[in-house]
Amino acid sequence: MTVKYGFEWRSALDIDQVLKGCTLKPLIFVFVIWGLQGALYVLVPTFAPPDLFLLAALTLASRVRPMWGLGLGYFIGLLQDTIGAGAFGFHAAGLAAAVIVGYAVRRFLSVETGFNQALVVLTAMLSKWFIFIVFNYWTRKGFITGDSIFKVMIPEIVTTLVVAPLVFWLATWAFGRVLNNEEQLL
Amino acid sequence: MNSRLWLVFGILMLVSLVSTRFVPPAPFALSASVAPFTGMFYQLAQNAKNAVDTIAFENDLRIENKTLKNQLGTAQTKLVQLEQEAKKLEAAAKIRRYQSPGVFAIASVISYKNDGLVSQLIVALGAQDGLQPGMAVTTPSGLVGIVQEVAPRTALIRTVSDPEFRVGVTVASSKKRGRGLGRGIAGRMLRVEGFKGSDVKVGQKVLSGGFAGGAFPTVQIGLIVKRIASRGDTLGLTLEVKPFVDPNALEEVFILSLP
Repeated sequence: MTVKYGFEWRSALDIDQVLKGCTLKPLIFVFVIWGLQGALYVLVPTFAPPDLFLLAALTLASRVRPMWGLGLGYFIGLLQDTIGAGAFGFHAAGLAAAVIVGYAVRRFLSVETGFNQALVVLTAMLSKWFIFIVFNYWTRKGFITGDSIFKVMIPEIVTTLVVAPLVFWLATWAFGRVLNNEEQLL
Repeated sequence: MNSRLWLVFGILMLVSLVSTRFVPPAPFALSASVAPFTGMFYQLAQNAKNAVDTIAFENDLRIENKTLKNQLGTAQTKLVQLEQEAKKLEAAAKIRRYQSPGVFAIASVISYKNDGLVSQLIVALGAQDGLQPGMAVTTPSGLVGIVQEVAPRTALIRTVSDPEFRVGVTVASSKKRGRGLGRGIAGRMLRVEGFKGSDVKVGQKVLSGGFAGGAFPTVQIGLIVKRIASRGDTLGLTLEVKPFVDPNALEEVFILSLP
C-alpha cells in the first residue's frame, strides 16, 4: 500500500486482501452467476448459452455434505423455475439429478483434475436432460422436442463444458477448496 | 453413497412430479420480485450488445459511404463525359442543319500553332479515320479552316487566318451578293480583296462559298471590321474580316466530308 496524492491508494491486486475473510466473496459469486446467466441469453442469442446454475450447483455441492448439496441443487433449480415462471419443480428435479449423479461420479475419482471435472459436468448435464425428458413426457407440455436435442441440449453441453473451469475457479476464489471424499463422509 | 441420500432424491423427484403436473407455475408476483435483479443484467447486456451493434453498423456505414463516394466520383466523371458528348452531338446537329449535312467526324484539337507566319491546328484524327486533305473544318460558330495534311492518326488544319489559306467569300446581307477571294493575314484576320458587290458595310457577316479556295459549304466566317474602297472601284473592295472562331480556344472541330 502506498500513499499518493494525499489519499490511500490500493493496487488492483490488493482486492484479494481486502475481501479475505469477509462474506462478500460468496455474494459476488452469486451475483456474477445469476447476472451472467441472464446476460448470456442476450449476448449469444444464436447459440445456447451455458447452464451456469448447474455449474454453480455442482461446485457448491462439492463443498458441502451430499445431503446439503442435494438440497442446494434442488433449491437452485426452484430458483430457476421461479425466475422463468415455468413448471414449478422442473429445473429443480433436473439440478437435483445433476448433483446426485455428480456425487456418484466423483466417488470413483480420487483426484480433482480437469478431465475428471469435465466428466462430472458431462454426466451431470446428461442426467439433467434425462430428467427433463422424463418430466417432459410426464407433464405432456412439449417443452422438449427432437429439435431442442440438437439445437439446445448439445450446444448447451458444449458451452457449459467450455465455461466450467472459469466457474470452478471463481467458486474456489469465493468458497475455498473443494472437499474430498473423506471429508464429505460418503 | 448412503441410501438415505437416494431416498431424499426420490422424495424430491416425487415432489417435482406432483408439482410440475398439478401445481400451477410460480406466481407472477414471485417472478416479478426477482425481475429487477435479472432485468438489470439483461439490460446491461442489451446495452452492451446495442453498443457493439452500433459500432459495427457505423463501420458498415463508413465502408458503404466510401464505396458510394467512389461510385459518385465515377458517375460524375461519366456525367461530364456524357455532357461533353451531348454538346458535341448538339453542335454536330447544328452544323448539319445550318452549315452542311455532311459532318464527317468530330476531332479533338491537340495543339495550335500561331507564330505570325502560320496559323495551324493539329487534331487527333487522321488518314486511318478517313480524313483527307481539302476537307472543310468548322464549328457551330463559324469556319475554322481546311485539312492541309493527314498523318495516320493526326491531321494538320490550316485556319482561316493562315497566310496560305484561301476561300471564296460573299457578304451575307448585301443587295447584290458579290464575290471575293479571302486570304489569311498573319494569324490575325482574313482579308478579302477584289470584292465586287454593292452596299457592303462594316459589321456585316462574311460567308464562305465553294467557288474558290476549296470545297467549302456556305458557312459564316466572321464580321467585316474594315472596308477599303479602291480608287475608281474597278478593282473592287478590300475588306478586313475578323473571324468568329478563335483557334486558340478550340477543343473540338467538325470535319465536313468532301462533296
